[in-house]
Amino acid sequence: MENIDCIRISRPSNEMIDFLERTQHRKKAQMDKICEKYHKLIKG
Amino acid sequence: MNTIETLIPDNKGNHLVVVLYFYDEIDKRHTFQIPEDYQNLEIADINIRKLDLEKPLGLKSLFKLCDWLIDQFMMFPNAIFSFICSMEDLALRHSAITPEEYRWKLFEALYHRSLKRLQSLDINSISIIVGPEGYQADARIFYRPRHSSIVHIVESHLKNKYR
Repeated sequence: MENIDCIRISRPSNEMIDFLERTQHRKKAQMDKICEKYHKLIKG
Repeated sequence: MNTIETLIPDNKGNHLVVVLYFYDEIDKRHTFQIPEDYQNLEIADINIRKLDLEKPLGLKSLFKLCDWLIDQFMMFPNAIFSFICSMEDLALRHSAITPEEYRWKLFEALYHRSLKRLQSLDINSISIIVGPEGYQADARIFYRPRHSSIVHIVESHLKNKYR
């Protein structure tokens, strides 16, 4: 099997950009919530 | 949604928050087009953030982060891990480069520092660069050799469907 170390998608569709943007929003919302929990735990 | 999280102290008053987010069946089947033969495959996205965004972070916590991620990877023998670089702004700006470039360079430095250990554990990796100039997203995938065929299937899907 061909050995690859980088995949380059230079012309992403709107669908893929939508997926990446959704992922970015999900990551931010999730990390905001979890970090808030740890802030409360540490600072009381 | 299934997640695993940990808090890593830097012993200087700050912490790293690390979360593994496991994609659900809908994402696996529809977004990544994972074939039914690989139903048991798990795909986890790595999320990393400093707890106190205003404070610097001790370097040791980044090394502990690598250890924790490798331990988690070994605990999930049927998993592929991804890291999709966040585009969030940084509280402490590094004005010469964008926040995502800064994060990506840091993650890649940690990856290269861990490379020998990853290779000794037979953990493969590829990077994915999406987008023309003006819109660029960076990601890295970690997988075992026995999952290389599925990585090639997803690669082919991404290249063909998302062209």
